[in-house]
Amino acid sequence: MSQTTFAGNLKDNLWTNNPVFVQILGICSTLAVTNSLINTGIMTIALVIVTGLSSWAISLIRELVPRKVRMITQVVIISFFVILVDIFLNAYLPDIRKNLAAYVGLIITNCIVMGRMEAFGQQNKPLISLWDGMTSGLGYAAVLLTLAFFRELLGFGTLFNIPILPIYDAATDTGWFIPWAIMVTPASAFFMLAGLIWIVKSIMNRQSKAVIAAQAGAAPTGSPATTTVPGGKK
Amino acid sequence: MNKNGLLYTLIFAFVSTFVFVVPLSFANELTKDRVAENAVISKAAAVLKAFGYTVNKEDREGTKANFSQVKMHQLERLTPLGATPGNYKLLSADEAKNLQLANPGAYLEVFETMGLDGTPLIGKLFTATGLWGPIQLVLSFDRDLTRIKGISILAHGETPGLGARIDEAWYQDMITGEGYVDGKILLSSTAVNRSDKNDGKIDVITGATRTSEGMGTVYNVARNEMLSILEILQTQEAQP
Repeated sequence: MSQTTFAGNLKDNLWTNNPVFVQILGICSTLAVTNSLINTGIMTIALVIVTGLSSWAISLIRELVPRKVRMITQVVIISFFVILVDIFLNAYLPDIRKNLAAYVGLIITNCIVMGRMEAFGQQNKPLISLWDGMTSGLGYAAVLLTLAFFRELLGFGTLFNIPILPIYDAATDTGWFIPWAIMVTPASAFFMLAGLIWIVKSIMNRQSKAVIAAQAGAAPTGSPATTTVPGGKK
Repeated sequence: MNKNGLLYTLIFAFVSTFVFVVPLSFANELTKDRVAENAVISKAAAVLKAFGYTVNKEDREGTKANFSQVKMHQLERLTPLGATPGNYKLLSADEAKNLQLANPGAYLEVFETMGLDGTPLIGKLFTATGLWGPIQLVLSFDRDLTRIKGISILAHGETPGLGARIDEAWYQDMITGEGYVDGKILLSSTAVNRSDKNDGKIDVITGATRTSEGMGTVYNVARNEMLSILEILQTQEAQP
């Protein structure tokens, strides 16, 4: 964690240290649920809540947790919040729960939740831990919603189940769009995620080169930052 | 007390588990009635939809009121195999209640009502074999069992966009009204005129062969089962 201010933490979790495209965490659900924006939205809201509250809870009791049982304690806390979300969905949003099937339960095994508890919540105060958990969830949500946007649009011709592209119907010879069957299957998420990581890493590399160039330009002549020796080594 | 000692660790494990599990028990207790009601409404909505009625599940009271107009017969399947009239027994309300507790797998409900066009319809919950597990659906038929009059999917675990397309309107429109030819509805791997309801042929779903086969089987198994059940019901109706 390079920055511990609220704004710095937000930038870190959304971009610099994004859990999906930088840390490559939470990939199972990234592949599984991203063919529908509604399912992805509900799943990511659940993850933001669970990650935030789990980090907050572990931070509250961090001084009390014996070191050798800290990980099992983290699992108990995550399970508590996930089951609470599941009970709520079962009672008040049963159709959404039916669509998400096993994936809500699988939040327990999402590496992002436990990763943030172990790396941040265990060492920091409750409020910033809550913020860190929620922003990590938002970083995950941003990637999943981006993938879901393209997968649902190209796989079904819809966005949030609202028809966007007119689907070709041979019987009536109407419409023109033929849904891409591969976009519906998890395989497409592999390709799309790889493409997204490629794009993001290219932008990050360009940004870091620009920063280095700016630093080099700003540094006085002969300073260590600009001094080179033959062979390119400092 | 030593925070990393055995006694502290044991006490901590017990207390923390208790603190996190008790609220879950309360949450489960608080919502269990609503969860049970959700299951009843889902079934009611599926039956009404299979009979051709428009259902708004948000209108919980309206759905329950409409479902109460549907006549229900309660039966016991005496042995798991064989759809013969002798394998079914009509139950009284008390017998049905006892059977649901003792052997819920043998308990069956058959529904009867008038369709929107005034024809008498009969329907039942069936289970098809999907790629990822059982598919629960309600099918309705005319009383002569010459046609499927409606279909509604209650629960499934099929792949969204592939097998899960059984829950889409185009698929259900294809099944609704389809007539049996020689007592059968056949799956066709070649193009089918979906609007022809008298050819006894339905289309498979592209990319979901196993799901299509499971559904294709259930349409024929369901008719055989309904033939046996109708015989029992007709015998009862004939009694003074």
